[in-house]
Amino acid sequence: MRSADVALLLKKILVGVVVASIPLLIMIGGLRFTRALLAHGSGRAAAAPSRSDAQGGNPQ
Amino acid sequence: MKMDLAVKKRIVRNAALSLLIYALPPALMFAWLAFFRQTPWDHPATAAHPSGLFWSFCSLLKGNGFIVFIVVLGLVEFSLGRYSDDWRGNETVLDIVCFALPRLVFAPFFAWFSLTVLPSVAPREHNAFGWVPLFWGILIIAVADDLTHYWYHRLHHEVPWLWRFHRTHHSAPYMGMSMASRQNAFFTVFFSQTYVTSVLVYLGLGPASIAVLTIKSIITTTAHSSVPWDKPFYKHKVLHPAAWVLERFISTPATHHAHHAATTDDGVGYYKGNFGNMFFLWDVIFGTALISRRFPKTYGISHYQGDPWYAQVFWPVFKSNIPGSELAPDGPVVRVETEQPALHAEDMAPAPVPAGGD
Repeated sequence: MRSADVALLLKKILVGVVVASIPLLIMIGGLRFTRALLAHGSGRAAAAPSRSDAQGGNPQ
Repeated sequence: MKMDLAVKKRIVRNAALSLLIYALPPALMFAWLAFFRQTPWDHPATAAHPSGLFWSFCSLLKGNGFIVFIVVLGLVEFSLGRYSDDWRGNETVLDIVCFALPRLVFAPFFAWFSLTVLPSVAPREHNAFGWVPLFWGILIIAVADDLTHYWYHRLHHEVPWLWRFHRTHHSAPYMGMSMASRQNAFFTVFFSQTYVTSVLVYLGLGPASIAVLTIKSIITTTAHSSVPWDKPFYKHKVLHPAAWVLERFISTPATHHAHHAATTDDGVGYYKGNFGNMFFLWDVIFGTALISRRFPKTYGISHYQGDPWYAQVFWPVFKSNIPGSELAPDGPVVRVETEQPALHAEDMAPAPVPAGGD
């Protein structure tokens, strides 16, 4: 095995790493983003007082 | 040998579109969860636990069932005499070695990667996405695994210096179920989609991956098989609508045999395209599809002279002793034929072909 072959193998591995990294980044980023955004939204909805609560539980 | 500029541009254009396709499953899941106000991470134990007949089927095939399936398929191929002329000597040893290596050597290696490397690299991320509902997990794995496989495969055809790592898969002058695993060892070990799926399994999409990989194994094995299960769909008019959908959606023997043809652009053979493995849809989307509903007369590489099995499996560690072979010590990167139609460098640039052929 010559040094050119080793270089070729390393180049091939690099292509494989790039081809694998792009979908992983998109998928993992997408799933994290989904949870962060929806959990934040639902948490804020749960924490926010309703109009009746804000009025001391006495709607007039 | 340099890559054609038109091929480069086409790869860049299609890769950009792929980014959107990769983002689609998480985006759709986000929309679904937001619309129905679901927060599956509150009950992760119930999110991805499958049950029912389909799951039993997947579990069966994931175990010894798939081995039984391919052995039965192999016996059917033998009984139909598919290997009678060409499957002897060097080719037999090559197919057997390629069939055994992934199961005896590569599978333990990938298990080690999943069970040792990933936990040591990201110990806190284990099962981080265990909350993803099974349906969405299946969609995510199906797209992530198979689109990555499509690109890995396509690049080995269109980037000249990568071709020799994939040549072994195309050298056989016949088709059969064993062709699915007939690969150069370095091609298989660095399969990008295997690592993508391994990471997603580690992150909690294990059950979804079992479902997808079961279906994918069946589709890819039968697409390489010499048993043309799709022929009745083309023969009987009542089945034509189903055939139209099927041949655009998944790899069939007709479309994948065309990819293994010894000739191209003759209306049947098309080694410049039809790269899809489980989904043929990628070829349709990216314009690399040819659907003819016919089977090639000859398979393989027209200038193939039976390179030794060890050179085909372990190139570039071991070289071929066939003068002029692409696997020989001073062989060409891509052998250019002058008299016979073969794998020309310029032929590796896929011309836009409509996915027609009804």
